[in-house]
Amino acid sequence: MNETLRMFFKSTRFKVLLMILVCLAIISVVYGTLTNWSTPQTNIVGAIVKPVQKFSKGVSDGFDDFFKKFKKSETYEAEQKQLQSQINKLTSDLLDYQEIKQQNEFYKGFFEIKQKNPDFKMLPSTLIARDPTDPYGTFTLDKGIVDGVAVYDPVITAEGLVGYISDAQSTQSVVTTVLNPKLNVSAIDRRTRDAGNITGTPELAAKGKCKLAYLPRSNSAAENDYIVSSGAGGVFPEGLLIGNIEEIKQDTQNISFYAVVVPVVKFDEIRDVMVITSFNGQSSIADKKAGK
Amino acid sequence: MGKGERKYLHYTAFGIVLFVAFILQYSFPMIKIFGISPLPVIPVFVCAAMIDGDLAGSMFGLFAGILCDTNSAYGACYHAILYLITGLVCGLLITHLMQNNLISAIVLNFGAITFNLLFNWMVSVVFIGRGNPFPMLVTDLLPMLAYTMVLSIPIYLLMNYGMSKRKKQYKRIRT
Repeated sequence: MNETLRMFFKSTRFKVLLMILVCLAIISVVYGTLTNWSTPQTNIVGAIVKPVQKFSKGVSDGFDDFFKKFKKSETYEAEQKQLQSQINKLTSDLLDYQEIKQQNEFYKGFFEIKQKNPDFKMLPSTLIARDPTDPYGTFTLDKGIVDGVAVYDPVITAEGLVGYISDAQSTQSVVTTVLNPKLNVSAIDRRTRDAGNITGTPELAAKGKCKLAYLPRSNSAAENDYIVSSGAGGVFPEGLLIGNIEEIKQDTQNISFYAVVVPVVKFDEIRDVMVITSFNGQSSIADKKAGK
Repeated sequence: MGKGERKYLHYTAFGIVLFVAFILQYSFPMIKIFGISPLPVIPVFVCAAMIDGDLAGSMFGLFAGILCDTNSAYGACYHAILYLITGLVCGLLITHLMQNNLISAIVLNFGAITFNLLFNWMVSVVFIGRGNPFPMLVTDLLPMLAYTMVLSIPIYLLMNYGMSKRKKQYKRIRT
């Protein structure tokens, strides 16, 4: 066998074949390189190899991708952590912004009140609980005696009067609203100066309204007139806006009239309020009851 | 774990459930449906009374009442007294007259919630004597009663399930 092979390699036939092969190879390479055209043999070989190559590449890429996932998982994790921290920071910034915006709006409303009444000592406070068993919108604030809050301190929002502190505990306090029949606020019609008492009734409280009772028969109050506190009695300061008149009716129990008042404060939407802890003309009776 | 420790754990768990119910009732506006707030505190201490009897019922009622009085304008100890009486009556009824089951829970909760709502209504609306107090019964109290009754069933089932599991564990340890 070896002898036969050796003889073949040494034969002229083999040398001619080899020369032809080399020539063909040189022609193919030169032709292909110079003209950039595919030669017939490359086309044939390509047609055979291509599916295998494609499959191989596909498998290779598949494996590559598969392992890349593991290889890059740490990178992805780091990137994900970085992005998450960026999201957290942006969310926190957004929350801060919204809080500052809310605070700004909150204080902007009180700025006017403070400018008009420089004697007011006000304490910002936040609603922490509502009493669902109370039909008059009683709620609890996060400030108490230790913060300087006392019983009978008026509670306001930027819109107007809310009510007063009916129970001051050490760290929180309960607010009774103007919807409550227990509360009586001396009030006047800002346009006509007709005086009466703001108080609540169960029926009106259910609709979020109160009434200006004991209006004289000769009153000239009219619909849409604004009602403000008169300051009489010394529990509430003068000039705090309470609401506007919706309609005027005659009282069935006596000869006076009363006006249905729509409070400017939306009691269901209250979140932050101001407690007026001191003002000029505050009643000494209220002071004594409050233990000031 | 000793018997005493288990008892403390049990009462602490009930106390925590009661506190959670209190927070939900007063400071969790999301619990409102169509503007109606439930009163989950009452079913919690009524169920405690059903499970542990009159003394525990009255003590849990007192605890619940003290919590509720911190957010109430009704006056000092109003809820504390009302809930103590409610807890005591529920506990006594379960000890001497009724069995601890779902039907009893529904009956007792209905009675307790109705009693408390009507008492509040009388104090805050009827006794004030202004206007017609009856529309509020339909518009406010009835939906509140219905919502609280719906909540009282899972509260009872949850508390009773927890208790029966604890009893089974205790029996297994003893045997």
